[in-house]
Amino acid sequence: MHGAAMIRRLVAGLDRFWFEPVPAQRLAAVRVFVGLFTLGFLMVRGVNLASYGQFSAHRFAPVGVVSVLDAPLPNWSVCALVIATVIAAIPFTLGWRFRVFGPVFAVLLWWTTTYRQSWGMIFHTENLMLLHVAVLALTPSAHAYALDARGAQPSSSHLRYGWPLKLMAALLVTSYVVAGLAKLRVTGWAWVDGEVLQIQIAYDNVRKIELGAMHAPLGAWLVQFGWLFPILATGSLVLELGAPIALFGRRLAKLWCVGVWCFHFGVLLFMAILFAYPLSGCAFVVLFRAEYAVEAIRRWPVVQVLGGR
Amino acid sequence: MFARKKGHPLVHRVVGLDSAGRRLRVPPQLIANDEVMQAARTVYHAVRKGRRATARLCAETADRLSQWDDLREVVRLEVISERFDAVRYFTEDAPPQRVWRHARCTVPR
Repeated sequence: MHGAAMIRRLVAGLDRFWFEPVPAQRLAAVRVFVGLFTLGFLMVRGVNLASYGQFSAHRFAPVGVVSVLDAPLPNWSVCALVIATVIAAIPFTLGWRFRVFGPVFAVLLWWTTTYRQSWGMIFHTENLMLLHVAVLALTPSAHAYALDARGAQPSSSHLRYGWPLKLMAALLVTSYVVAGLAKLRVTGWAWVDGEVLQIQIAYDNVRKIELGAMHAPLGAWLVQFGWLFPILATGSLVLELGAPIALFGRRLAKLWCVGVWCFHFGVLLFMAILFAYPLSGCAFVVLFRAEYAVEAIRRWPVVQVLGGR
Repeated sequence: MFARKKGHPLVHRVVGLDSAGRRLRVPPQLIANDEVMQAARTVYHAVRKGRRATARLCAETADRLSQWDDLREVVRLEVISERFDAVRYFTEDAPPQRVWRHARCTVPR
């Protein structure tokens, strides 16, 4: 009986946590930030994404949804799909005809990024962004800050705006926990002695120098200081495995986000690898009151002038 | 991110050689696209598939290079793998511990 009551309380607590009512503006603000980031990503990487149309067919190694294809698409259709993805990002971000363009954009982004990964190289940096776009596309994230919502009364707090944010937050922390578990699976607890990380940073820079890519001079210089790497390795593992603390209150989330942002900044400085989504802060907005940031931006004089207020 | 076993990993690449045997870097666009890591991965997969795949990659890259305005001095290409002690590479300027040549081809001019 006592056990059953405990389970009931646990389920009720989980229910309160997952289905927390929040204002429509919060979910919509996240859509705006994620949409702007994705639009920028597509504009910067558009030429690269389209270049996969020119690859030799024998190199085609389809993964995920692209596995439905037996052979690569013709060049013109790869280019057309990339252009369509860029265009669809605009109504997604603006919240225009969202019921149509939300899912259309998510599917196009899913296809385009997976097609890029179907040539033997997996780009992990895009996965979280895509998952966040998918959640936003399938939930009522255009009930505010959207062209669709012009003239409508601001929606009051509702759990239908809360659970998508919890889901996105869960995806965020899970991506880090998985990265931490992968380290333990491959190297065991030996990871924390720092040698693997030291070799990884050195190898990544050697590879970039030998291949003629931009390397990270700071990382190359630091590999001589062996004492530094147990600290960095332990820190990265703690941040990754400890990611779920970000779900337990904004203060802990802030602490974790600062730590993870510094971790990604370190990766950029030591290995010249840019994790643009977390470094831009867009990956973390799901943990905070994102609508405050949008309201602050709306008060900027230039935005008021552009908005005709 | 960055989960990898200990040891000295390999760097797989395509290198150009001039008539004096000097090595020159081959731009990633000639192997795959502007993404250096995509080019590196392309070479890696060819090496894993074996001699026929590396010969094909070499010939394809040479063909593209022949239509390229730069690197006119490159007469030959090689698909190679090099094992580095990555830490000693920076601390002692160490050369590769071992080099494997998988394929060699001439650039058609």
